[in-house]
Amino acid sequence: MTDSSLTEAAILAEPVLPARAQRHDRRAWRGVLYALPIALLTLIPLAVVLASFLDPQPQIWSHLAHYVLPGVLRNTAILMVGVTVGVLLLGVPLAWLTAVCEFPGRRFFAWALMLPLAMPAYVLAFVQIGLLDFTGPVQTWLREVLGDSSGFPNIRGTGGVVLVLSLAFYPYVYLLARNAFATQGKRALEAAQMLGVSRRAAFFRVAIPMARPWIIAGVTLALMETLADFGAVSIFNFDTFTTAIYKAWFALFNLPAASQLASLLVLFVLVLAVIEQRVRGARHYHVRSGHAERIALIGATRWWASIWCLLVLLVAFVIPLIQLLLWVKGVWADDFDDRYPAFIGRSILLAAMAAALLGLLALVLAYARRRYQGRTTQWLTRLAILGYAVPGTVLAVGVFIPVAWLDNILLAALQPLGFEGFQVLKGTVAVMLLALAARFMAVAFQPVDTAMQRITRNQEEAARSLGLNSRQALLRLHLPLLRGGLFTALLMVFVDVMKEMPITLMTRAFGWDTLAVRVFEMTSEGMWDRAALPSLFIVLAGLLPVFLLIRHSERH
Amino acid sequence: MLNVQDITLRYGAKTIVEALSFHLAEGEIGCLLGASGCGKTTVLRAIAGFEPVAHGRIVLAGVTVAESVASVPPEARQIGMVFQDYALFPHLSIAGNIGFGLSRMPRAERDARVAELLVLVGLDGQGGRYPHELSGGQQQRVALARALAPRPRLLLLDEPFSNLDVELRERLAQDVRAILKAAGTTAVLVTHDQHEAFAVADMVGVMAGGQIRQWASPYQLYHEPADRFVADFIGEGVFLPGRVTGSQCVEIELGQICRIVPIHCCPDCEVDVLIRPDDIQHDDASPIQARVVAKAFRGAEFLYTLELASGNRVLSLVPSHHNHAIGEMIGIQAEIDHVIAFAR
Repeated sequence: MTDSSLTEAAILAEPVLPARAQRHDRRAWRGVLYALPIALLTLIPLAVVLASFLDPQPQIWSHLAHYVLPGVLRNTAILMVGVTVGVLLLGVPLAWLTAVCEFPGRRFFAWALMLPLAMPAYVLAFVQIGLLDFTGPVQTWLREVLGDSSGFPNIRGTGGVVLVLSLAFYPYVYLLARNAFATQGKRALEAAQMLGVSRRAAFFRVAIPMARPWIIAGVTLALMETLADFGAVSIFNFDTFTTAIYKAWFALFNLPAASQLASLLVLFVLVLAVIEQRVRGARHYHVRSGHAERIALIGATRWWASIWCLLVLLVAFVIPLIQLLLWVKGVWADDFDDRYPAFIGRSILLAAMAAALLGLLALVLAYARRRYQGRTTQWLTRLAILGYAVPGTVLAVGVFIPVAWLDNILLAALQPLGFEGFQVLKGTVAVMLLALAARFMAVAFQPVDTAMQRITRNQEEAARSLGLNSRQALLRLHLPLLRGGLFTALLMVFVDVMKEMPITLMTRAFGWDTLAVRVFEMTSEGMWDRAALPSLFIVLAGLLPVFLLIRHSERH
Repeated sequence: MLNVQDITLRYGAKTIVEALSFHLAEGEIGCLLGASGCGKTTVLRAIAGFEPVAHGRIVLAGVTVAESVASVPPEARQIGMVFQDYALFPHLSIAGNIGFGLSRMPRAERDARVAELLVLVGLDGQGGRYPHELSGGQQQRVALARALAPRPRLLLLDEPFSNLDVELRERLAQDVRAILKAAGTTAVLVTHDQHEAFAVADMVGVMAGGQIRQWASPYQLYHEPADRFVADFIGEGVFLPGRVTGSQCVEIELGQICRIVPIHCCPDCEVDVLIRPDDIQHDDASPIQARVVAKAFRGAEFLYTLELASGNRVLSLVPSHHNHAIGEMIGIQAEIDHVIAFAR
């Protein structure tokens, strides 16, 4: 076998590889080539919004400072504090009970308490108002029985918003804290007890501190959702940044004011994003102890545990779902007309397009990060998925401004050529997709990247030593092994886009009324029963990824 | 067949392997043996094509596959590799794994080759199972079969037994040698375990600090180590001080040994003589007495650590029916066939 033609053929087939250092640089550059355009989807809107913060316009600012900001800032502060307390009080005890203790119904509650994830905050908001308002069934019943319901707290007040958002977002804390409690195992607690610490004290001195990074991460996610929430606060008429941005743009037609507000909101969000990234590094998984023996609650305590879990489940999910069904039953005959197939069809079409686009981008990003391990590529990847922290209202503004600018240039270029019309990109589905892609990149990327991490270097090298070049390896090794992760990514994006309200509302193309837009229209007129119909579809779709999540967490 | 000439390997500015050379004939099994971090795996990866060589070249079957200016990519080298963690493809069946590198073959031919390999590695009829359904030893055989399937010109094995139970290792090492010999494959094994190296390889290179200290057969490594490091690394043993007394003899505490001239040593030179545990025989009649200071039970024999009158210690392998207590004095005698001495 002494023919050198093999060498030559091989060298011709692939470019000559120089020494490692140089090759490394060249490949890193190629990684940037893939990751940068994807990161720009998020970075351009963010930069546009932040730029308006750097370029304050005195007139707008003095107006905002006088009439808008005091209320908005106060409300935002109240929400942040209130929701933090709320999700901690709900999430941590529930996580502890289901992860470490044993009581009647524990197995059921462990997964059932994730169900509220399927219910968007805006749905929960109008259902709770409908239930607990003066004219709602609860107060009506109280009046019938007691003759008076004036002592009943006002659900439309600040307490109501905090309650609803806490009920909607506690699952983030619950999920992460449960994960922490389950993996830290009983060993640490037993060690503490051997050292003379009581069980109750051990919970505060050992279990909570060990789980702290997870709990903080859960709270930060809940707060990001709180800052991003548009639907629920607008139902409560509780002015926050998101509603102020919406009003500045769509009621006052003042886009610069909207973008000034958005830039302030981004600052809040970036602080949270930094905290979240910090604690992420502190999350070490502990070795799971061999026997998962639980603390068996005894006497009345076990029943109180069951009752507490049941109560949260009822208030956050079961009762709202029943109320939705009752309302739907009432309006179905009149309301479910031929517009509905169109709402549903557009929701599905939009969600499917976004899922397909994001699935593809996530694949490219995960593969680029894997193959070209430059530092720049790693950083760009982290920036590309930053959109999960950025409220939809901000991204809508940040995408719309450059698109409008580009539109003007295109119009100037096209009109001499006989183009008639006054917008090219504005008001097209492409704008919606751009904003949605920026918002949900992380949702698509994480599962794909996790699947990618499970492919070992040795498996890649085994494929190459068996004669496959990198393209063939991609087709025969990576893609088949990424299928599961990709499916999760597509499903999660699909459902998130169906639930999404502000981006769809603010950037929607003409005639693109989706289910979420319908919910917004009905709730703005206070017609809860008619809002229930589109909401039900959204909740049903939302259950799909929750079931996937439940199956996943049961397996672990 | 495989000629590694003077290669230097670097990670960035750090030199991992410097000016390393060895040669393997067709059908021979070589082994790089060394502690972790000695650079042995890096050499293997350079042969496979996953690490570039900074200096020197690697010639496979007369063709230069790697030198500093150009290299043949891994997929074109026709080199098979068995990984430490086997790196099986979880989405493919056993047959799918073994046939993975045969995609250019016509289907019937490929099926026949896969069946042939399943027989070779003793997994006949199990081609439809999936990697996670197999034991560690079976997975290892699949990895071997997958690497052998495209009839590589050279097979590389990276610590192939380290994920297996100790009892299984020895048997599998022998099996692997038999399979490789049956297939007539030229192979390079990398390991830190000398028993594995001795069980599988024809030629072993003891590596340290990015260099091969000695390239020789297992027998030679044990009985004719080239330097102190190899003598220390391979097998058990101690050094006893001695004095060269004539052209053929060395005087040590246990008497005069006359057999092999310690090279480089003038008469009257001070030397260290390597004493292996099997060089020291237990003999009750012997005038030389030594005190038992430690003992390790190994089933068929005891490994005694014995203190001589001078305070120097030697090791001795004694059949285990000679059970002596610690502190007891026993008679010993030196029976040394290979005298290895190094100048002090």
